[in-house]
Amino acid sequence: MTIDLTQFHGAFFDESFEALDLMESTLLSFTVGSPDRESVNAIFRVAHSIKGGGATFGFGEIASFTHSLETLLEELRSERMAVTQPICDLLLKSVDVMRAMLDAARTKQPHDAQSVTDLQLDIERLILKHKAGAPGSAAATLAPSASGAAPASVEWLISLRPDPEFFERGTDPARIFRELGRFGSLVVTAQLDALPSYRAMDPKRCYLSWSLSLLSNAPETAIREVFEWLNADCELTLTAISSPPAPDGTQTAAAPAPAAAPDATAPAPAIEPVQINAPPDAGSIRVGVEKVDELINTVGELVITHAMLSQISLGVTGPAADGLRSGMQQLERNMRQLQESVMRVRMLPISTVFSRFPRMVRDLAQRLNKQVELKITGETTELDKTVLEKIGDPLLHLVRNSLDHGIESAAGRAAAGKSFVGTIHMKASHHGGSIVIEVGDDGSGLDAERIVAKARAAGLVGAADKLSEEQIQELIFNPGFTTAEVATDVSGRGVGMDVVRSNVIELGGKIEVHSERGRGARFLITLPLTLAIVDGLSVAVGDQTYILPMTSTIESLRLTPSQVTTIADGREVFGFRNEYLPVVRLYKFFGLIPRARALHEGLVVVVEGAGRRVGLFVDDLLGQQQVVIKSLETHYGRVAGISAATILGDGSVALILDVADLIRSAAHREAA
Amino acid sequence: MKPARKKVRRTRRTSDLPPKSEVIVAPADCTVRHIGALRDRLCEVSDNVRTITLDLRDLQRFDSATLQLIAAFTRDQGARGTNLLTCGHCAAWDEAAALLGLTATLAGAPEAP
Repeated sequence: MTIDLTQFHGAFFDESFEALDLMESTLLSFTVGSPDRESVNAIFRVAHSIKGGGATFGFGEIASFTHSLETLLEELRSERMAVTQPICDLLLKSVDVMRAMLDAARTKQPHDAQSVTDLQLDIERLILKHKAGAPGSAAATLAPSASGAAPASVEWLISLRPDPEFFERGTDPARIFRELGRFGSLVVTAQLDALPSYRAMDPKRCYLSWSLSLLSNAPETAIREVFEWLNADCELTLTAISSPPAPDGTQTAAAPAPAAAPDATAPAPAIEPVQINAPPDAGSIRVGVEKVDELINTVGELVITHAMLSQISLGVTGPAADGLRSGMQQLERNMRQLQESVMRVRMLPISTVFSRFPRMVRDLAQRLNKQVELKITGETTELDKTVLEKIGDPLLHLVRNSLDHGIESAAGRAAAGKSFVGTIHMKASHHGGSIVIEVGDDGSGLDAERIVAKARAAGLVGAADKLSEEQIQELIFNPGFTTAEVATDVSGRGVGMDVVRSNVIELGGKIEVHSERGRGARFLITLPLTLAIVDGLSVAVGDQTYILPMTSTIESLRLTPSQVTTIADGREVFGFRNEYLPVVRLYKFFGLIPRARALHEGLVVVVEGAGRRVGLFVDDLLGQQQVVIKSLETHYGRVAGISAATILGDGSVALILDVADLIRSAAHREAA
Repeated sequence: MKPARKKVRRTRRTSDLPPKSEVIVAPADCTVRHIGALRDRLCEVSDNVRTITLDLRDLQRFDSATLQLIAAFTRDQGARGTNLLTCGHCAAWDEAAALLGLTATLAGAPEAP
């Protein structure tokens, strides 16, 4: 029976990426010179596990690279080599290279093989250099003296016949033999019988094969482990031709080890099960996101069914009515508990996003020649997986901006009487049904004068306009706005902050900025905990009910005719908090017959989206409630102004408005 | 009757003669991805050259594929009776040759039967 190993690839990649995150964070916390022993062990386990997985699943290059890395880590683990800053840098580069290789393998895309080879050679050169310099190490690698092997040594005969692509896959037998030599006395004989003339050969192909004789007291598992990552790249046989002497000194008969002499045509020996970075809680299981989503969807349906039954139960009379209503109340409590439990399954700690920043800050600070400390708090705060996946890039923009524009140079900080080490902080916390993420720094803060000058130069504000502090800070979210004199590859092209805001708004959140000149700036992002349920305001338009997300809703008001002005092109505007907002009549937008046509007969709900505010004219407000989001696009495609649908308690369908899209579409239609 | 042609003994010009010796300089990177360059240089060597010097002083990177190619070259040139010399090889080269069991081959010793 053959097992399709590709079914395990997804888990291997997920676990390997998690393991690399762990390796990276551990490396960043290393104390150069005297790292915590357990940290070195943890990193070693990461490399070892990825190597094993890479070999098992046929990713030879990954296995080969991690094999070299593991050799270096073994030297560090055994304290034969000291952990220096260059070695830390090399290990961090290895994390990058492994990520790139894994990503390429996952997406079946090519990767930069040269950088892999270069780094692998650097690692091996480092090991060799160290060994060459180690006292008493000369010529010990290949054939230690016979006395070096313990008296109870076994002679192993090993035959290795690689397949022709062996070298091209980045596998180097010299590495394997070097490692094998550490177990005892090794004699290597190369077989050149298949080696053609140098003129006729393809020099990238492997024509050599080897016979090895190893006298060692190492256990068979240890010897096999040296070859484990070769997998199907070669024909390998391993035979014990003499057994250890019995305790009484009598020699037992030579016999092959039970599983040590497989058929010559058999692939590499079986590999022990691989376990990558076992989570601290051994009671957890890994479940596909689609299964969780299916569960959430079903619970959503239950919530709707419950709401329908509740409505029906209100009309029930008779002796069973009280019992029914009591049962419905109990069901409601259970439903709420079930819903909360299921929603928690999708929640992940924000540390999965925050964890990428220590490395980024370290590297970028080095490039910018700044000294920066990153402080992270609240990393255990949990957030919906989808929100987490989408918040990474906006946070990246903010941190890069802080590093590049916020934190001053060491000289600048000294002149301002600050510590020469700047601080960037990232915080996450729950506030009611939302999560607040804060990114701040103790740098120079926003330069209001410069922002206004740039905005005037760009024509964003008039020469005589007087702006409040809030309005000035708002300017940085304009597309293309930057105060940087020179655009670098770090930041300054003005494509950041507007993208940050639009990404946050797309997630149903908002972003605020608080800045104090000379003392730093703080960006506060408020996000909903989940995208599966939304707090909504239900409004009536004609015979339809629409849901307005509460995060987009500012205020509702009834306008008097005197508050409304019709401008030249027929558009209606009304005054709202020192500005004029256009009126968007929802019945016109959706082509419905309204109950109220005059503005004073209905209500206007002020909403915000796409950086603009408008007043939505509706017939009535029906109430505020949590609604379960049902995607429309799966069945009906994209509908202008609509983000999704939901099912109300009475079983009717209500559409959830996409405020940003609605504002954009309304403006477009009016302009047309 | 045609006048008898004077027999002219043809002599080979110096430039036609195979060079007595040639030097092959190995490029800095001879790992498997770049080994084609080294093979091309080896193939440029005349067949009848008496002495070949393999200059490894520029060699920065090599792997088992490099040693395999040089082993084939050494064996073939040895069979042809060419005197092959190497210069500039480092300790890492010697170590790798020993690890791969190619020390004797690279030293130009005849292959074991």
